[in-house]
Amino acid sequence: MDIYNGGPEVSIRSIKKDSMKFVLSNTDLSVANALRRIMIAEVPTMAIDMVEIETNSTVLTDEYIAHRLGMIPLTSYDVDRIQYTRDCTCTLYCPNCSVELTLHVKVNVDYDDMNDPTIDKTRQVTSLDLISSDESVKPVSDDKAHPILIVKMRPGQEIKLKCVAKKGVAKEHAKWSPVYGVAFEYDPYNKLRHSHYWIEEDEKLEWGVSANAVEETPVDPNEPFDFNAKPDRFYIELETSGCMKPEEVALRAMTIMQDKLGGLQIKLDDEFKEDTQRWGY
Amino acid sequence: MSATRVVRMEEDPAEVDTGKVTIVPGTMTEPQCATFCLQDEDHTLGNALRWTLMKNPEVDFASYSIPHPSETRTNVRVQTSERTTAVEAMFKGLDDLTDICSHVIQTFQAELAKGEFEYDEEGAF
Repeated sequence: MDIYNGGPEVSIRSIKKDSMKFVLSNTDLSVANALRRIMIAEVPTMAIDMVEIETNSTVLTDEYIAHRLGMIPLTSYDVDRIQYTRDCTCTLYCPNCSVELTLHVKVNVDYDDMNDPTIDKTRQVTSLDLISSDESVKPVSDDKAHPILIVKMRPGQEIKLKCVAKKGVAKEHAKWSPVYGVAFEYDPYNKLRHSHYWIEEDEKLEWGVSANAVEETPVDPNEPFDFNAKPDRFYIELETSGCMKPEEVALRAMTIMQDKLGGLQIKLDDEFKEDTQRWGY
Repeated sequence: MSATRVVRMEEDPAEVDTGKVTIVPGTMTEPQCATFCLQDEDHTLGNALRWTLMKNPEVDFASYSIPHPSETRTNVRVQTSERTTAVEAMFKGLDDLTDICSHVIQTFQAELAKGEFEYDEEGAF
């Protein structure tokens, strides 16, 4: 770690149920960006990937509902236990690589209320109606009063389907992303001039400094531009879908990076041992 | 972790080498220089690896590129001094980046354990 000046430093600012703020410092932009990119696209989660519809007499088409189901975040803190379907020995899916969820709602016609316009006969089918076969993988619902709406039904309609949730990464489809957003900022005073602000008249009036600016020294207008300066303090804020804890997303991201590197080393070792020997080094 | 790869219909799955490292033919004219082709890698790894390679004082030149946006491969060019080889430098680059990741994990966990931050079990934002 000598050439890396002691290595990166992490300072956690706040952790909430679905979000966290931290500062990553004493490292390169490329490392901070790798962390950001992995959190967004390469941390595996569970999401509904296959839907078998048995009955659908609702106003929404089968594919419309299937798409909506795919978007529902599922709790994924236990995702390590589940295999990727492509690595599994089964033919289509099995309990080792998937979780089944069922949805069956039938709205009966109540002939007494049918002609009474004051009674709301709409049945809202929500994520609470999805019954999971696995306690650790179920729709994220921190608030029972505001579940995720899937479809609205009228009396006489029925929906019956089976969903298969699979493990995946957001590189393949964004529904597998554990985060809804990652805010990534460095150099709030724009000393490095990486940002060019579009202005009408006055930059300072039209572009206020961010909240992270309190941690840095304000720019001195008489100071000459330091063209050798590099960003080394990164303010990262992430918001999860609720599928796992925010600190878990960040930690998993770094572990995934290590796994990638470890895999490359093994491949490199296999590939070039002979080459290196051939050249006599 | 095996990298994700969606096999396209026209591709024979047997021909797709996931996570493979090769040397681009003709780029290793001597042991001190080589262009490595990393299958299924992108800017996530490429840029960080380029940085750790350049941190090595024996490395004269390191850069990466993604030759085509619709192919999931990254090329990494390494040129070193006489004292080492490109393959060795690559190993060191990968090692260093792994160490950095371990260091981030350790410091992150230490920070979590210290608990010197605002904590709210319920609040969303």
